[in-house]
Amino acid sequence: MKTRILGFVALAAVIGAAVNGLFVVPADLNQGDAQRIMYVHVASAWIAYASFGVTALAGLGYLIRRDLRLDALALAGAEVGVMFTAFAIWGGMMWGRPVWGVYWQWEDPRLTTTALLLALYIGYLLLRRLTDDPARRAARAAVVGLIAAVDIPIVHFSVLWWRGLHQGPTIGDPSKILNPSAPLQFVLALLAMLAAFTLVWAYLLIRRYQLARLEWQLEEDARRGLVQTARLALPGAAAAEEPAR
Amino acid sequence: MTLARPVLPPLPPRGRRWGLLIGVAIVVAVIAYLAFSSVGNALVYYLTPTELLARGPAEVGKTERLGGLVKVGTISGEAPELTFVLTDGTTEISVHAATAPTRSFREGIGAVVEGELGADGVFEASQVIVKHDENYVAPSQGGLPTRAFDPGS
Amino acid sequence: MTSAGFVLAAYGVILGGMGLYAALLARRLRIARDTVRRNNVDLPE
Repeated sequence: MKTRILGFVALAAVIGAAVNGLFVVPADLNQGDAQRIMYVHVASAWIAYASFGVTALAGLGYLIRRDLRLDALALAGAEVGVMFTAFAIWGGMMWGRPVWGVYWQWEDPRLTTTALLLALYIGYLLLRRLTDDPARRAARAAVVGLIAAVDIPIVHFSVLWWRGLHQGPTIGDPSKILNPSAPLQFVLALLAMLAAFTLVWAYLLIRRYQLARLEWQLEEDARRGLVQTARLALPGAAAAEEPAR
Repeated sequence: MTLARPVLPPLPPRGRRWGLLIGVAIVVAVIAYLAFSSVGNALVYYLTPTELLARGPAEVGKTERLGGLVKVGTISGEAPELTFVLTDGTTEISVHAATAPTRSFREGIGAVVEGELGADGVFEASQVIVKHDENYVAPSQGGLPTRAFDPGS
Repeated sequence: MTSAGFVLAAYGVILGGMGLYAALLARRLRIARDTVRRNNVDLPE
């Protein structure tokens, strides 16, 4: 129930932040309206980092505590993170074409390392499907999740380490957090979008976690041979379709 | 009432496992390709004018990317005959661009051009990519319209 | 395509994608809950 309220609050926040970014805040003087994409592009990328951070930390936690609930959290982080990484790439392409003149440049370090991030976590999700032994699956996933997380700082600092097309950080550089190279209203619009995306993120993580727990319950049921047997084994069991339990 | 309980847990069919293995193999191959080919090249995503000229006459006619700042006061002409000068602060190279850059192209901005250096020392660019920076500017008070969507864009 | 078209494509896919994912999760959750409930009908405990 509380999660449902969170969902509605997140929906309202995203609508508000999008209206603000699209219609209230003025567009950048040099880039024009295309700059408005920055708000969803950057917020998606930061949320993706956070998702994979959750996957890595929950995986580490699993390796220490051996609690499968942490593995469910790691799975939720990876799946939600893959989606937000795809959003960041899509938003970046829609921004790059009108401003740079190209959708994509394979040789740009930020773009390439982000594509790598997407591939790594799609691999993580596929790897999870290779075994249905919960403990082995969780342990392998935790190790892969920790290794893959190495790419997160590489993506973030790629624009400082290597020469490329992608611009440097406006506020994400440690030296720029207090002194961003953008007007305050742009920074506030970005932070509002980030806050709204964070609410959506929390909602999706909770829902995906709940789903993972249920799916594992089903796996467990299957292992114990309960699947569908309630109806098949008992002639009168159809009446028990809606149990009072 | 107890339920019928088959002893054997259901295993995923073999075919599905092979499909997944192939999927994982493809992902690993993509990762390896990205890691060893593209990121390596990305270290030299473009050459500066100084670096390009330092390579000497052997560079003439080879496809390269050249990056630098568009020197103030050097832009002239329109797309098939657009010319400007790219500088890195010490060396300058004249560029002739056949295709038009985006509207964010202007004096003093960073640009990356793809093409080849001609024997006459002019870089013949087939593509001009505008490398906008991380600085954002709001329209100033008065003068420019603050309407959200500029119909002219 | 104009700038506005790219802006629309970016916001539309990203915000629409989040909504679609949320709807799919809700659907999968409902189905999973129903199945778990059905599987565990008449358990002794």
